Amino acid sequence: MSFSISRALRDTFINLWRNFQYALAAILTVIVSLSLVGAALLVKQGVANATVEWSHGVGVSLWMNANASNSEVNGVSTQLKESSLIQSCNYLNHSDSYNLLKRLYSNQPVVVSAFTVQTTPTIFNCVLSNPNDAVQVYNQYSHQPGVYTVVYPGQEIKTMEKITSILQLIMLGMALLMVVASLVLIFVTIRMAIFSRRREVAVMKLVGATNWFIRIPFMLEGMIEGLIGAVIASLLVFALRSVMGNLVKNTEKLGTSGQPSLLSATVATSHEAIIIGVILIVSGAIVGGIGSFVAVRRFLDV
Amino acid sequence: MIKFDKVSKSYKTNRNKALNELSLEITKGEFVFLVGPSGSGKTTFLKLLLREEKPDSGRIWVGGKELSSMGSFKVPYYRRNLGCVFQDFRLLPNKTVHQNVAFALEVIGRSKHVIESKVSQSLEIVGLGNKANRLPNELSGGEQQRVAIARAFVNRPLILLADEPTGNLDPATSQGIMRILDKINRTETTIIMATHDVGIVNMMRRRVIQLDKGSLVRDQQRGIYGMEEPDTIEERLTGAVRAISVGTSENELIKGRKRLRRNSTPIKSIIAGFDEDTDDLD
Ligand SMILES: Nc1ncnc2c1ncn2[C@@H]1O[C@H](COP(=O)(O)OP(=O)(O)OP(=O)(O)O)[C@@H](O)[C@H]1O
Ligand SMILES: [Mg+2]
Repeated sequence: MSFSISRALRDTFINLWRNFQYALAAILTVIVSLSLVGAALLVKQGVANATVEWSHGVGVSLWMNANASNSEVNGVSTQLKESSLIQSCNYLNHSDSYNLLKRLYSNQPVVVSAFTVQTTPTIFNCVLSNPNDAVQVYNQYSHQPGVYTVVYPGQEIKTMEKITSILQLIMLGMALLMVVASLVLIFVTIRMAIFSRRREVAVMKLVGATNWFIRIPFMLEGMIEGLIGAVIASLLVFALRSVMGNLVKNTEKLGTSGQPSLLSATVATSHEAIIIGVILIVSGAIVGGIGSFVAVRRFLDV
Repeated sequence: MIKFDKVSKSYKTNRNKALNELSLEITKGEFVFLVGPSGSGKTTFLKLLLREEKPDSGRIWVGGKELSSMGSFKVPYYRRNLGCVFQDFRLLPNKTVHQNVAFALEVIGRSKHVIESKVSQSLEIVGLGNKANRLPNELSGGEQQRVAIARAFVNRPLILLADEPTGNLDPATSQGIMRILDKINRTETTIIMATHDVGIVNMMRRRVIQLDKGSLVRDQQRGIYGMEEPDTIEERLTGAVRAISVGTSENELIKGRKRLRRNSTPIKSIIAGFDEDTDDLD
């Protein structure tokens, strides 16, 4: 048995070598298609991470008008205390928020000089009982007298999700087309391989080699093409992940907000990248296996 | 050993029956010539035995097994009992003589050890032990056909099927091939050989099964190619012309005449040579 396995492997590699151009084309399309799939998965995972990260202990900020009257502020404060949507709130008065402003924009004195203590809006920073209620809080308070605006990071997440889901859809669509292309190319390669070995195959059938004995080297060939493509694609996906990581790190350094950027959560962890890599490699083997199996069924049957 | 029971076969693209209600039996160790004009169904007969084709109706038994009800996964194992030789040799051009013969055993999973001994035995039988490392294109047609026979015989099949094995060879070379087939036949291997080679059939005087348009028209022990018993070489040749002419197509007549021209001069010496040689074969 070991004898025939080593034989099958040897045959497979000889075939791959003989069919080099076709094999190369097949492998390249597998790389492109699976890289696309991998990138789409990476982005999807990133967004999922960001959503989880930001909806944890997420708060809303109610920005009051700078000239809001005391009664307006007190009214909002009372309502917030009584609301079941809100767990707790922290009020930043004019000087608190002016200090925060000074800290956040320490390197941009122009911004700071545009405000005085009195013209800096006061802020209620609130923790929600349930992070999903942010929209409800927004609707309830943004039109209250004295309220300038209600801000919650969920908005950003929603927009981000929308953009990335469209992006993902496009990527997955393209990936699907490319997967079909790789299937076809692997099918063609295996057909060529069968054709170039038709004499051997005819003799094998004649002397009573079993169907599987004849088929396996061709199927292995397709699977190995798929696997080579998939391994390279996963390496590309790992590379993409670290490039994204670096990009985000750099923007954070450049950023001025002092708060963790929403972006920083959008990079999938390396653990997740490994899982994506495994998914890609398995899909590569499956694509190769299917493409070659169909060719073998069409062109090798007794 | 082999039994055909009212076997009919027609091909999809062809209205005429390639075989028509053919019934016959062949016992173990027989040497059978399958003759008949072109298109009479000889190759079809062999393909049915190989289970490359299935009959439309009727049954075929080989060694107690019925072929059309045999599961397709069993077919490879069944074929290991058969050896096949063709007019065009069908050797693998990039493998040496030894590798070509060994290939037949490798692909059915025989061990290296078994392969080594069986291949050299088989090459000795066909007299090519000294050319084991040549490539097919470094051999004459006759030698290539001997390699093909060595490959067909290497697994010691019960039955050897040969479809015009001498069709591409000159008479002297053909005679050498027949000597080897005769030697193999004496190991109790059944041989069924489709042929147009008048000289050979008439020399060997073995069982002759003649087909015409798919039907059995003659089954004769110690038969000759044509219908009648010839007495002299001249008569044999006339018989040959007639037999060949059973195929009515002009093409076939031309082929027949050519064959006749080829055979006419050396036929005496072939017969003489053959009779001399037959005794020291084993
Ligand atoms: N694959 C096929 N498809 C369609 N018709 C076929 C096929 N093979 C053979 N035939 C037809 O079946 C009939 C018998 O053919 P077969 O090859 O058995 O003849 P044969 O006796 O071997 O002829 P030859 O002496 O020329 O080799 C012929 O009429 C032929 O045209
Ligand atoms: Mg024929």
